[in-house]
Amino acid sequence: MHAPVHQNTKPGIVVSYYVFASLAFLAGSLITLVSSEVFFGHYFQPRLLALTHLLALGWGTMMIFGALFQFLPVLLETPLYSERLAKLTFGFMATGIPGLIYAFWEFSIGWPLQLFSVLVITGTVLFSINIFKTVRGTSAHNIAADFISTSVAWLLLTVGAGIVLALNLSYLFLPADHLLYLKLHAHLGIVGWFLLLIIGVSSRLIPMFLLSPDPPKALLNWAYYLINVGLCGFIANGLMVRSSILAIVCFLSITGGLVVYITYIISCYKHRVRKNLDAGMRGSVLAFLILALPIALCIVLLWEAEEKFLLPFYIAYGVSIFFGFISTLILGQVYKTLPFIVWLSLNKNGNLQKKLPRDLYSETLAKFQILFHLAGFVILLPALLLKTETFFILGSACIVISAVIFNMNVVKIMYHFLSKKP
Amino acid sequence: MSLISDENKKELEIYDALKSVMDPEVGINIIDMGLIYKIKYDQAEGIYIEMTLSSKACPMGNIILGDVEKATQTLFPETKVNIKLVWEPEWNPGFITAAGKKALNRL
Repeated sequence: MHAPVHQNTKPGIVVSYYVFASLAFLAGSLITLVSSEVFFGHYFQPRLLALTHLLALGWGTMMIFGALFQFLPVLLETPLYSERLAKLTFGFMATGIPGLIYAFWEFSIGWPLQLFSVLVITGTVLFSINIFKTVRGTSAHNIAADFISTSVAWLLLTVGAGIVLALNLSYLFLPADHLLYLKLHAHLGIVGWFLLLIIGVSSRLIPMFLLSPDPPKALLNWAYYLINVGLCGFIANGLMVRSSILAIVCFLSITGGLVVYITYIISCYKHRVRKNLDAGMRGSVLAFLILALPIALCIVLLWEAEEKFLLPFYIAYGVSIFFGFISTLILGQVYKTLPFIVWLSLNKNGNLQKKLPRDLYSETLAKFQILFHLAGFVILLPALLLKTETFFILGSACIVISAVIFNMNVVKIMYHFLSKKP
Repeated sequence: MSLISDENKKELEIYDALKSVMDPEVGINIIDMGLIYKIKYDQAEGIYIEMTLSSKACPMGNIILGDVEKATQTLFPETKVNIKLVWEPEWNPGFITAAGKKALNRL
């Protein structure tokens, strides 16, 4: 006889987030393909705002919410605080996000934008309560938990700032230029939410998947403080001082934290027991190398050049973060997590026998998908900087193909889940 | 006279049977993963297995433990099986055997 060791979050809740996010990625890639003209203009325009929120909330955030509901209990060795809250969060986000995107697309800055922003913020608050309560319930406190809780606090600030910006579009009450606050809102989300969360979760999952003994955990403390101090400084500077020198100091602090974290990942990679990496892990490791691109583009953006010169760099910066770092990492990690979640639900009574999680999807398709994604990204970035529409269409077509293949694999995994067949 | 006692033979049989239990994420068996710390067969008290998991909240913990119980019980259906989960020493990838490392790199 043995005692049960751990209660997993119900798979139905988790997979609904994964499916929503996968469809959002497909929609985002299709919109990119047919919107070349908006990518060669100013970044503050309705379609680009709609696309950015589709990728940031619909793709990145929904995928992360689902993954956290499944893996936070594993990382913190405690059950999720509330599955009911996780369901409610899905309801609010799944109605709020499409509405918000529609409102941006149509630039309906009155009640539609405000109403759907409220739905998104409600979903985010419910998610945050669930995460904070789960973190509080753990005795296995570690730096990964600090990264995750802090990132959720930054997410709350990001959506809070988002609703202020939505109201400002109608009532114009903010003292400085709207675009200044937009940059702060974007970086709260990119650095505070995505980066800290990704570091927190991957600091545990990557050594676990690579089978790396004794990862240099002390480095994580350095990364945590350098990034948070840099981000706090960046926000304070943007709101009050607006000094170029201080902006560079904050950038260096955040970049320093990233370099320290990448050193941690390199150490895990070098000392790994698992030498042969599958497509998912290759994609994930590659995502951290791609991080060098937004850092390089950020150096250009810190340079006080003419706005007209900087515009393509702003767009390339956003693309390198969303289609580059975040998407490459998520695409890789989905292959490590979704088949595993479905396998667990199918194997409740030991009915899968010799099948393993990796048998639930096509590894060949996954390899092609990651290749198309990288090819698309490599073509898209110079196309944006050099303003060549043909290459832009070619690059975004590769990303659409990647999104289609990715969704085919998700459908294959979901078929097993829904039919309850191995 | 045999060098190996009857109990030891049975412990070896259990050890071999547990090689059929896989860690689903890693894709190698739990013996090569280094998850089994002790196997004891006693005519009077039954089978005692001391093992660990790769993490305290391993989502596959119940499945692996169930498979260990099933594999042992299939071999000795009449004998009581007691599986004890321990966290000391804490498992780390250094526990993977040379055969396990070889198998991993073939995957």
